[in-house]
Amino acid sequence: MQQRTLKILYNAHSWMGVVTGLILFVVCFTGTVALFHYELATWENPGYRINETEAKEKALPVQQIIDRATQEHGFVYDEFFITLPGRFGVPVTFYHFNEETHELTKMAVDPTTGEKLQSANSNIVEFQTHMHTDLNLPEPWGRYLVGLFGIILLFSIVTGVLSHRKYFKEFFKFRPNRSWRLLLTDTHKVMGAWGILFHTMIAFTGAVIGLVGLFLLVMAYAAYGGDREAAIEGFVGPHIEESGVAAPMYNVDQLVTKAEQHWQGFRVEFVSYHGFGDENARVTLGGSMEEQLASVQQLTFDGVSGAMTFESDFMDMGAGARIYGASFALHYALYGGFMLKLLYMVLGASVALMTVTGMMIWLEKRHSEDKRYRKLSSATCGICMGLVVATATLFVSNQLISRSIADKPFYEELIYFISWLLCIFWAFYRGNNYQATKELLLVSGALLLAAPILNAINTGDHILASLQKGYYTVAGTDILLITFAITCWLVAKRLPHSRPESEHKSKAKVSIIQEPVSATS
Amino acid sequence: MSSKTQKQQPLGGWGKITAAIFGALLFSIACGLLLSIFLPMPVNNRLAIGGIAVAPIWVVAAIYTLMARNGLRAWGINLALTVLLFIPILINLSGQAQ
Repeated sequence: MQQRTLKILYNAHSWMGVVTGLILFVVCFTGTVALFHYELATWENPGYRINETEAKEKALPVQQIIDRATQEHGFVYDEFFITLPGRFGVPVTFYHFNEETHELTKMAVDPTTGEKLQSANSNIVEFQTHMHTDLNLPEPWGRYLVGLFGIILLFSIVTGVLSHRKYFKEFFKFRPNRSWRLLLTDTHKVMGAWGILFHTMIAFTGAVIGLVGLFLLVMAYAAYGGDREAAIEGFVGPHIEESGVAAPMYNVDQLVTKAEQHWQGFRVEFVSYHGFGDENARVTLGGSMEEQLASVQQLTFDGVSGAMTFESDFMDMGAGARIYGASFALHYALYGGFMLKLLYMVLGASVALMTVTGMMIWLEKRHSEDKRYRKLSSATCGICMGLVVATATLFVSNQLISRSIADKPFYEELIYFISWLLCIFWAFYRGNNYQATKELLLVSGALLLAAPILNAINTGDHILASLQKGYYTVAGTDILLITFAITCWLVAKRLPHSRPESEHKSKAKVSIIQEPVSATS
Repeated sequence: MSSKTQKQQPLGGWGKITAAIFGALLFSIACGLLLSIFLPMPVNNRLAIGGIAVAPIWVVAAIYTLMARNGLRAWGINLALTVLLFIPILINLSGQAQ
């Protein structure tokens, strides 16, 4: 490859990283937390904790749970969505989204008894997921922006690979005991080389999930000759108007059996009602295929007669639809269990680390040139480390703020942003980013350790008790939080107190000054 | 920067950067539209392929755009290709409307 081409690729890689690196870090870091959305939902809501083995073995029929929810718990809506126990967590959760007010009503139910479960009036999981998928911005703009960052990550990966001529040598080139800058460069390259398949997949599927709403709208407009309704019907089936005439609903358990017989290996994971209780009602059953990358398969039935009215089979529509159908399963690790999520967490953290090390390499090269670079270095330290502290703060505030406070979610988010802002101020105030990083890591570690301790004090569900009661996700979350706390402490211990190069320079200066003195004496 | 290099870069580096962002985006959308209309397969499948293809085409087009000799050329090639691709798309859309 020509020298000019390599230079352009390297510059494009560097500048794209510098301009977008911090936001990419936020998206990637929050993504690693959002991976455990349903596990954390059980941790944040002590009322949702039920014996997970019993929940699987002794679950009531879905129809019985719906009857209790609508007749006894007052969950009466025309349109609602139910997630069944499994990959969406242990409880059966009912959702209703009000199109006019944009309010989401949520109710969790014990699958073994049909009893309503008490919510902790907390929002940390939804908030973290919303930070990852929408950067906490209004829909759909936040989603599009995050999708755009998926494309930016893809661009960075391609330019990064192409600008390295000796790509395969990077796999084993790790020199931790040379200089600090070399350590950063090697870490960046080794993580990039080993994780390239995962990084490319996560960037591509992220771009597809984020921007598919926008791109498909444009494509559908052209493919259906401008008929938007026809385009939507092609994917989700015809829109049905309610008649206003009440009718008894078909037994949903029989529909689940029909659906699972229709496609071999199909596992129903959610039920969606449109026009519940109306003679024109529709029931959509969705889920994934066993041992296949498909998580958006859907079958729609007539809610009264139980006849199948529409099927959305992404496995049978050809390559494009199959890639689209697999994107969700691949991006959210829906095709495996908890261990796969742990692997995703490590690889996802490597994407976040790559963006930071990339920024640091660029800044280290220019550190002595200009004051502005030092300020950007402080901003990087404050934003990245501050995000870790703020996320740890969420877990602690979830345990410390009483559920009786009506605006608890608001205060949790307020504390999150205030702590993040304070960390940014602290990084600027400290000036020495190495020391600031060490201190913020120690604060993160302390907060992460405090969260399981507070959980044990508040609920009595310490790790051993959780394991005995069958709350495996709670025990797993506590173990993860303690592991992160220890990791933060270990990393803080290993980090230098100040820039290593400047230390060497100052030592060198001292020896030059001392030499003539010793020579004369 | 030497005067010779400046002469070679009408619109400067910003011309190439804007062409890589916006020009390449226009081109990739045109490619996506073309695929979603003309691929010989069922409509939902070609729609999905068209939608999914935009992202990787944008990345590749942006990188190629940055390799251009100058900003004017970068914009010129992107716009010319986009217009070229839009001709069959518009003919098809007008045919459907009639």
